[in-house]
Amino acid sequence: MLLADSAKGQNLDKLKIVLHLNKSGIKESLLAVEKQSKIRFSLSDDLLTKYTKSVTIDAEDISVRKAIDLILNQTNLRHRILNNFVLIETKPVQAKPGHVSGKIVDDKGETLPGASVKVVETGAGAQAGVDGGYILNLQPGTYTLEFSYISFQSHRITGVMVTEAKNTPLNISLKTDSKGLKEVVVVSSYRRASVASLYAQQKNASNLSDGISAEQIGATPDKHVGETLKRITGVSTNDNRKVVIRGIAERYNVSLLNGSALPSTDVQERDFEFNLIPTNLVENIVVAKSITADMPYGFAGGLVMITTKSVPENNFVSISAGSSYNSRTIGKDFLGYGRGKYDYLGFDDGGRDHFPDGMLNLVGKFDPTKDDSQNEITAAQVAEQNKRIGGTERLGARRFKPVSSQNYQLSLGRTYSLDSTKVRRLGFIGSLSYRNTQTNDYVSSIRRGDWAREPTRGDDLTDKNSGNIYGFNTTLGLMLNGGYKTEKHQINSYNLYTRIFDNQFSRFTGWTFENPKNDDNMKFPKILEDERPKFTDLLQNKVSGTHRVNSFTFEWGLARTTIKSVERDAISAEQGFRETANGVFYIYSIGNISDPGAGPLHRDEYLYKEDNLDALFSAAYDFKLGKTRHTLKAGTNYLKKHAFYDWQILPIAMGRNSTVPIELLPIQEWGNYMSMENTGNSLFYYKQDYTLNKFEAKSLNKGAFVMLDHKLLPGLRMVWGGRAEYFKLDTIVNSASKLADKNSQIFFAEKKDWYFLPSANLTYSPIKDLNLRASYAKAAVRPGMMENSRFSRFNPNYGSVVRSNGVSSTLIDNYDAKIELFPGAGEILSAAYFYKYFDKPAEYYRLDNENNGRGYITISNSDWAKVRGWEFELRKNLNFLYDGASFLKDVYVSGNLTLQKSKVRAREIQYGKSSDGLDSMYYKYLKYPRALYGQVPLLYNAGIQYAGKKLGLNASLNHAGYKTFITGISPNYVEYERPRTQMDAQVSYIFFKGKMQTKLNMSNLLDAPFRYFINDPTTFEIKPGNEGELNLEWNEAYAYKFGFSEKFEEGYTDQVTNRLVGDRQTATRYTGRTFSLSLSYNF
Amino acid sequence: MIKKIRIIYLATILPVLLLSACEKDGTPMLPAIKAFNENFNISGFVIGDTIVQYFDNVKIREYYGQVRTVRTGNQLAFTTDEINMELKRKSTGETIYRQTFNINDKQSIVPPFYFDGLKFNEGYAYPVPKENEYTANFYVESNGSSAPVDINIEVLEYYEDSTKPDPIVVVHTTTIPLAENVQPGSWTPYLKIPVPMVIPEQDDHYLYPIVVVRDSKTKDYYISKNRDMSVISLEIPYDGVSPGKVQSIYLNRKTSIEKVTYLESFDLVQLFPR
Repeated sequence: MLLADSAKGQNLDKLKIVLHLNKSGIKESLLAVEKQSKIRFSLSDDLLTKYTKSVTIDAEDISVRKAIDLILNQTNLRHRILNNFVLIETKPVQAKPGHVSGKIVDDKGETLPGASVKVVETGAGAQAGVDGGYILNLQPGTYTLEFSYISFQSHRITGVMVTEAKNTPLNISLKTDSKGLKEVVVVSSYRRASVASLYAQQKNASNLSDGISAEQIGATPDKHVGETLKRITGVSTNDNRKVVIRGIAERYNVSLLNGSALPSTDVQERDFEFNLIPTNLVENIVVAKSITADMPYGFAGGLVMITTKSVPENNFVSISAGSSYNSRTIGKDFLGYGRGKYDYLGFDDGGRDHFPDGMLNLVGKFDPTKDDSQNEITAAQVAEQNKRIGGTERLGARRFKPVSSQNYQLSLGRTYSLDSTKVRRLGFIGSLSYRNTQTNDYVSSIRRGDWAREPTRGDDLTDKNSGNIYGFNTTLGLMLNGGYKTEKHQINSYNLYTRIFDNQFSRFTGWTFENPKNDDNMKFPKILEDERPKFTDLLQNKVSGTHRVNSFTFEWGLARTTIKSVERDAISAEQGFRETANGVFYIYSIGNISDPGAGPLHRDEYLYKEDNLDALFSAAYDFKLGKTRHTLKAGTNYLKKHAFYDWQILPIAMGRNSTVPIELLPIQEWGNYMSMENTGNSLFYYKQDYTLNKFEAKSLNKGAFVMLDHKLLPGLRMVWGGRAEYFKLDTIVNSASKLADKNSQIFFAEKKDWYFLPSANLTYSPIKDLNLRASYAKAAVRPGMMENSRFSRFNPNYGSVVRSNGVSSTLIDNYDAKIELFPGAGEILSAAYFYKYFDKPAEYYRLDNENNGRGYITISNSDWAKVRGWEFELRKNLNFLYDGASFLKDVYVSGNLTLQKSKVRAREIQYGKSSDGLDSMYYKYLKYPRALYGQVPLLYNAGIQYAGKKLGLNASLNHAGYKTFITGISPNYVEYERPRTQMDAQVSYIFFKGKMQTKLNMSNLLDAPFRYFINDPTTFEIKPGNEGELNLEWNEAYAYKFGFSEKFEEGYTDQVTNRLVGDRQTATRYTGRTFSLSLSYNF
Repeated sequence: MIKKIRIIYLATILPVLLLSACEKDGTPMLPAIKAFNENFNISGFVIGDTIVQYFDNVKIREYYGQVRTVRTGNQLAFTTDEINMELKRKSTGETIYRQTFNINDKQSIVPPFYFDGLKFNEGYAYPVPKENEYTANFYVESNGSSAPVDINIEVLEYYEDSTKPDPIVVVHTTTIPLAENVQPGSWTPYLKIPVPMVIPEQDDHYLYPIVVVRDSKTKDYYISKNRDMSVISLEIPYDGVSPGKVQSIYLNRKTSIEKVTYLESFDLVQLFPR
């Protein structure tokens, strides 16, 4: 660095020099000026060599300042006079502005449109929009913000730090100014205000709810909603799909995306793949556990409300990529049938297209043992049909190499301010995501349904049934939301499209209930294979609006949701063994024309379509009576559903006397023997339909409500009202899929179409940070449309056929009481008690009406159920432990505990004849109550979280006690899930000033299996004196033997009989440990 | 901006690169079977060491005692044109016999063999009977539960009483020793079997000769201290029988999968007819 003297600001303008430069470098030019002006310059070689500008000046009388400006023009350099020297330095970088944004609400959690926020230091300001949201663009720095609104105390927040190009979230609740016009300003620090806001919504909600906000989700490593849900008190999920709330099964919980119900992605069960929704697009997730009249959907456990963003606070582009390793998948063979070229992209390449239109039904019209003159359908026609259906190249299990799961996501948000206050804004947010996951679940034992219940000899370790379930899932997701906000109006559009290719291939090896192991013809196990390649398209489009006109708030929404799910070329196959001297060889079994039903080998197609249209409108009027504030809200809702289900089953069969050597033909070549030239000796697709193979139903659910919200005394709030709800389900076509069900009927008549559902919620805060709550509500949970179909299908996971007996609505009376204490910012301590009465609860039963010893699973209504329970929650900062350790202020411990008990009065359907000789049905009620299906009596979560500025650590433990998995009339039908404890951990780190995040998730660290059992008849005995008694209930006739109970007891092998005496372990499934690493970068 | 585009571009093509490595057809689980040869036969007898049978280097089964072709094992499944069978000594892994079967062979027969734990023999050698003499040698299997045994002819003298649950009432037993203190693990020399000469005490009594095995130390019946369970089928000469007979009796005290102890016995002369 070179220093000189004599430089003064005015000198540079006055001092004229002669300067002739011709394509000179910057340094050379400045030295020329220095020489001419005699003013000393400070130059840095390192700095000047960065610029290659060539300077040409030809001036006889130019001021020194002008000369320097010309030389430095178009460079990132500037000059400055420092102690009489001219210093050449880099221009300071202009900082990009940051943002402060959030919501302004009152002390009851109501948004305050029009409230204003002012920056004390600069005087800049903004107003809250119709949703109470505001946004301020500010240069980086630390500011004091003042929030104010008429008749509310102004609130001044100090120390609000704005960093370059980042958003500082700040939600604020203003207290009512009860002392009139006297100006009161509350002052608090940013940190306290921000953290406290995390629980503000829960604290101020009119109903019992728990939730997680975008800020809280941001502090977790979660990538999708499926991972986030289990962080909410009382919520647990199975495989990120089924939601259990307060220990109550998924059937009694409702999930809404932006206020519209999500259809199930499975036809026979209620579940939704929550992992479709990336967390960075989520505004918040609230789980309501008590009901207010304005909620259009009834529930018993909880209502999961997921709200995605529509107008972002600031522009962003973010990309993320991740990969995961599963300990039971990678490094092992991954089995499945032939794949398509585009399976990784989620689309079929046509290789599974084997279901042409206009297929001939061969039942009674074609017999390969007869000639054409005796058949209505000729062999040539069958051959032509075989050709149209196509070959069997895709069939047969094969090995693939598993690939680590991978996921990619691109998200984009844009916002456009339409005025200087940033209140009127237009914006959109979009996301494109891709994920491929491959899983290999190991089922170490399956002894349920059609499988042998016990080994033939208790000490034969080879007599076991086991297998694997291979999951190949590709998911593409596209979300595009947009919105327009003004001070009084807000219109949003939410659009979600997802494409899921989910292929589940299960392969079990073992002995069946009908053919247990023996040393003769059942020496070796059978192999059962089942592949279900399912392509699902889900599209949801929604437009909603909120308008505030004086004291009125109008809300409306219109949504259309369609789901189309096609199982294309689903295959069921069976392999029998052939023992030879040089080994045991397996051969695919083929059907025979005399087989009843579909036989051992069939390829099927199942098409499900559902269109939902829902609309809602509500108007709320705010008014004051004296010093009390009130809201009257009324509205209506409408939900129309239309569902279609079609199925095609194509058994592959051969004639009775066929000599086609199928044992010597790979199954992939069987299609070459379908030409029917030698009719009796050909293989063919034996399409046999006894019914239309169709289901079509419509349902209509509409309602209207009136609700009053009274903010009475300070700290007392009451919300009450009622809704009238109409529900009607009509099945238009309802074919039976089993021949045996062809002549059976389904009873699902609702008692009445209209129900009146009252509700009331009372919140009282006797002191600051303490809430006492009580609520009552009546709710109706409606049956799903397929729950009333006569469709039945074998489910390989249950080893049983799943069918329906007809289901009607369940009415639930919910009573809740809760005490909440908010001891510090972001801390909570709560205790809740709930009691629920279910009128006609629908439950999954195992029945054996056909008395074949195997039974089947069905869903039907019991008489009533009563559930009562306690729920506790704690979240506490560890700062109190030791003041000296500053990191403790970022450490939270949290936990929640749910304890509950249920009782059900079960009933058995009975069929008989009425006095006039007509078929009738009636119920036989059981005297002894039992637990409700899906109930988990003990559920707890415990976790510790450190959320530092860069490093985040999280460890959590989730425990679920005994769960009633499938219920039944007596204990040997009731299947329980054994207690399971899952441990997860996450490490996250932020790089590049928050632009890049890395997350390492470790889930199921204990490799905890899912274990199910049935109290086997060997564990109980008939009570003395009851021998030969008929028509006794189990509790009257039997008692558990010494050492056995309803809980799981492994038992022992009886030395005399060599039989197991103990509970039957019906299924044990290991899913492995998963380690996933993801990187995300925000531009 | 350029950096941004590059990253987005990379993020887009990365999955494509990963997906391009995917398999479509996989490797079929089941091998294609070219033919079944239904005339496979293997027979023999193994003592002293176990024989392990390999087909195309894959261990299939183990043999000890009688080797025979069961109904489900009389076929060979050809996935290639040839199948190589090897029989190995379990204790050493040494290959003691090798045979190749061809898909075109009409029959796939392993010559009957006798393995004494050391040497693999084609067939079992035994002497020719001398005139009308009955001789037999004995082998008691050496396993954890075996013990030295005595082998006797016991002639039961009985009468029938149909009023009793067991109508056969034995009144007297005459013992004729055949072999004493037979040590497990080695063949006895060929011993002469006498004609049992017993006269009943009463006219309405009957005689029934049996050959039984007893524990040499305790003199108890060898199987569960039960006479009937300790009987072996050894042919006894009767007065005037012609011609003579040679028998090689293998005895093994075993426990069934039903946890019942029983006596397995084979006459190797019958298993290896001349």
